[in-house]
Amino acid sequence: MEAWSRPELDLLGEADADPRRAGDTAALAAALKRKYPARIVAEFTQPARPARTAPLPAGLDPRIAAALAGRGIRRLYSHQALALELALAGRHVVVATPTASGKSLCYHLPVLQGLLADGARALYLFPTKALAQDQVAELLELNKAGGLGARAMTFDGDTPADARKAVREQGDIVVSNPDMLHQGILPHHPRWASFFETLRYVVIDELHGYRGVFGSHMANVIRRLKRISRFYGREPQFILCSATIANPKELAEALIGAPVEAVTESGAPQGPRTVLVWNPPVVNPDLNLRASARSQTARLARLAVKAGLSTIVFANARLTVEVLTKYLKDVFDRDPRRPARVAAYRGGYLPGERREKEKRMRAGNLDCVVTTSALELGVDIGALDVCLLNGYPGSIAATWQRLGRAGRRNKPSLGVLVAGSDLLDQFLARHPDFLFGASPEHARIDPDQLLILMDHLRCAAFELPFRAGEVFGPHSLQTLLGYLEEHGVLHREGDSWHWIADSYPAHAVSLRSVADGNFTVIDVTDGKQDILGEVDYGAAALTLYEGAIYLHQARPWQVERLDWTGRKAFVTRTRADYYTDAIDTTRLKVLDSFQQDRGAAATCAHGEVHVVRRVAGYKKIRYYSHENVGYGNVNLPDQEMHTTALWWSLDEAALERAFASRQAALDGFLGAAHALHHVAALASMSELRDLGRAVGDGTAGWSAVQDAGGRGSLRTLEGAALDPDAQRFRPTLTLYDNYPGGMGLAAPLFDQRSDLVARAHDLVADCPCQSGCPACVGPVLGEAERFGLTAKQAALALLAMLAGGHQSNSEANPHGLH
Amino acid sequence: MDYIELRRRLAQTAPAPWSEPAPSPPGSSASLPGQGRSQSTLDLLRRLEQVRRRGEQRPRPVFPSPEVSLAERLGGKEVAPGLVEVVRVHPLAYRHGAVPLRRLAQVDGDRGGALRHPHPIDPHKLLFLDTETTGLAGGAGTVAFLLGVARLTDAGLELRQWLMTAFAGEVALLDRLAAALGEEDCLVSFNGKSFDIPLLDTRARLHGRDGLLRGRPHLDLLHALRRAHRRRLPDCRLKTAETELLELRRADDLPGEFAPGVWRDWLRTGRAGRLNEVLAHNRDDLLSTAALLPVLAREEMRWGMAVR
Ligand SMILES: [Zn+2]
Repeated sequence: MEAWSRPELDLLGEADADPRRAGDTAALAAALKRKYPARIVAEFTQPARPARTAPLPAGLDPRIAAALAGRGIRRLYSHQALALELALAGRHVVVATPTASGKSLCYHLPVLQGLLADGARALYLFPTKALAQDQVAELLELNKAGGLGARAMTFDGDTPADARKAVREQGDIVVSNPDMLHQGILPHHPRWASFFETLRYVVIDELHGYRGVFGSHMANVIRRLKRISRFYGREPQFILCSATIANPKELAEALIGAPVEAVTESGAPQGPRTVLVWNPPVVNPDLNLRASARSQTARLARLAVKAGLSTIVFANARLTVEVLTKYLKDVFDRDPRRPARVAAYRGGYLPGERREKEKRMRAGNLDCVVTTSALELGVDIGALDVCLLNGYPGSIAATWQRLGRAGRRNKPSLGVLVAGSDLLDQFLARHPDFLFGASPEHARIDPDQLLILMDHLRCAAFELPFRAGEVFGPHSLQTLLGYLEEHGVLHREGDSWHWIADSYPAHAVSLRSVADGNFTVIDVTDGKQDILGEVDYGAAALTLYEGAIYLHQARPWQVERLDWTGRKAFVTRTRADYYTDAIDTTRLKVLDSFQQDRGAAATCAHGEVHVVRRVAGYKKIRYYSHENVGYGNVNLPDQEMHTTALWWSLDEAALERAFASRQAALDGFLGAAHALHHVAALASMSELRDLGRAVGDGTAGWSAVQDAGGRGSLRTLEGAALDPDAQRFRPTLTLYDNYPGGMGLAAPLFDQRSDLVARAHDLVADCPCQSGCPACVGPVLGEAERFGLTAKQAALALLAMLAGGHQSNSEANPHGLH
Repeated sequence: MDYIELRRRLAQTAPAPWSEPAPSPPGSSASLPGQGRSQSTLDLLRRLEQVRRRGEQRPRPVFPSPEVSLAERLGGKEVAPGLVEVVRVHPLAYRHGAVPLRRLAQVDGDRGGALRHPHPIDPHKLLFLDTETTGLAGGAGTVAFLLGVARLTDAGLELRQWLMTAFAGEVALLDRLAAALGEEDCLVSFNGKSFDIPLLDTRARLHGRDGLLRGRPHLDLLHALRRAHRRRLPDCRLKTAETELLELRRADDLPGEFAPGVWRDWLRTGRAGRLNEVLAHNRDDLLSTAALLPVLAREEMRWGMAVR
């Protein structure tokens, strides 16, 4: 695979970089289109947009007007003026406009106005510290320009203990983050009494990041914040800012539990933008193997920089960032005496280092920056000409947010999405309309998710006793409080419930999903400590267990130790002639079915399930011969939860008619599950890991797993193989909400069930591969056909059955549905 | 979601709320999603059933009035609803360990510098203070359910303790403290600067009594002990100071960490249990603080900062 990224394999040909047209994105785009029409699968242009402005409102404090004038601002963009007007009218406001449209003035202005007029204070919440520092810097400049005397102070984990008192008592604008509010401020609110007594504005930036579990936690933190504010006689007003998502108003309202006015029309000027979707060329048609996205991205970056265009490159993994940076530095930074033209920017650098790089980017002293999502948030780095995305970022909103990094006011910009080889990327390469046509994701939260709500109910009870008649979410508060009382956490006295446990509940509740954070693979061969690569959380249990052979650039290492909590795996170089394959079983039992749809052969339903995932052990498989040369045990605990799910099951008789053997049917189930999982993630605008998939018998008797060849086999939870023909056989394909208790994904997916199946079928049918590949039914390594069917045909036959048709074996071909 | 459904879901999905996830030992995988979430469903169902059977609409009587008998059992009296006051006076001749209380009456200033108190000391204007709390976590959810203060009077050392027998008594407790504080009093505590005083301050603010203790001069004998004896004592806990400096060995002491549980049992069951021992423990803490003062007031800072 790595061969494709070797510099000598010049897939793109750099002769096209025409120095005479330096600095012209249109010329670059034209050259690319002329030379590589086949690789550009879609083009999309956004016309230039002129500025729309409005005068400063009459009531604005003249000192603020002077401060703005000092920063060269005499009129506001229309969205800034509207947001200011709404905020000053006492409304909650959400501003959702593109990257770099001057969103932060939308909250700085009302906040400063309130401060100068009445000494009203404000709380700014940013999801990350880096971002907080940036916005404060801007506020400080405004403050300095107008001599406003506003004291903006940061309160986060780095604030020294002796400085905290000053922040509490003197901070006009306290800049913090959700975690600090949750664990450091609310539980200690009496110390913050004077702050809460004068708190008027709560600013929540990067609203779009508060989705899923994190957003559901945040909504409950805000319930607590509002409750504490009421205790001090205040009803703070919320000003929220979001990148472009489909439903900013809905999300803001769900988050703060009150009606919100939305400002979504940007008045900021925007140069014309061209976006290309680039699919690397096929290098092995049988396997549907394409040149690596990384090599293509590196070439495109070289062309852009050589054309004199400032360029930003986004990659989805840290390691890719480092590799791309190296490739580009090898070209542009060969002379160590000259200042670097290429830099990497990612999480994990020290704050000072990041500030320095940001400054160099803003000043235009870098030609190319390679980054992860670290720069997707609003860190100010100035505007650039070209934005390259190495792989689909996982959501439409993130795609546009990253693309928004390129684009100066009046100059055209170019964005290129370079598709990777996996299912989602290839799906988008074939259906670019999905990216350009559809509205971006609906960010969804479920503030009433029972487990999350209970976590925060405990925190709230710690902060203030609950009184009868209070409301905290839609459930019966009395029942929930009674439950906590039963467990000795609360004590009821008359009409109040008091916290009596000897604990600090906020410390036990993390707002961020535990499934965050990649695992770092560290090579410790001969006492080294080299970082070899990264593995995402979801795959860690399957690839980094102790004893596993970890393949990196096709060379083997063995995992010596796995530090699960520290997210580290320590590996040493090995000469093993085998690879390892985890025996991963998911046993799933349907507890309750809420609703079902019984078709001719298939039944689809949604409800509650109990899921037990276990990596029971692993097999050692010799290269080439594929013989099994041993087993090993894995000591990872079961992952067990109750959650919500939707599932399809098929009638045994119908299966027997459609498939020559149960084994073939299993292959079909596993391939269909792979496609349905991805399609469902797209449809529910969630990440892949938010959903789990399983094929089993629905009563936790067995589960189907893909063996080394990508084909199905039956296993017990303990990992023992079962003979499919000796079992009761009513396979069930389940997609479950991968969070205890569920995040509300299953019911909407059930409503879209026929659409999901149809889309999954199209996806597999349209895939250009012969017999199944990672971009449709998942990796298929073994023999192309078993029992007369390829993995692809089996999946198609099965999806056709799920769609409700009575398929016989003969109709099970790639185009069987239509 | 109706009530039955809610209970069912709670029973299926909720973790035991009292069991805060313990910090996971290295190498374990306690942070796997779903870990700690599973629960004995039957047990939870049974508990929720009990909640329901008890009838959630029926308000429980605040207290039938066992306080009267509790106050009697503790040798005090109910001074406000939910608050029992216990007063004890120890004559100056009383020895706490090897230290007669008379020595407290003789203190006139910080002779050795360990107290860092540059002004003359009037022992009659000292208010010794110690609390028993529902926990050590701090924050708005930690309550000082027992407050003991001690003051030197002509009759001897007067110990006054206020025990909350219900949350309803907390305001009265804070008001008693305010009344007991003289205009020119200096607070004396052991580790009060970082624990008792911030906690009482939080309680006072929660009940709209801001500034109850703000700006008070305060001698924290833990700091003085550290300055004078850090190098000589194995640690600077009160217990160690008692054995090493006061030659005191407490008999049948209920260790302080059991106090919250005793008080919670009282709230739940209305039975006094070992509350008398909690009060005795608190009195001993107060006496030790009072006895340490004359000892430390004579100590030089030779073990600690004196070098500088
Ligand atoms: Zn394929």
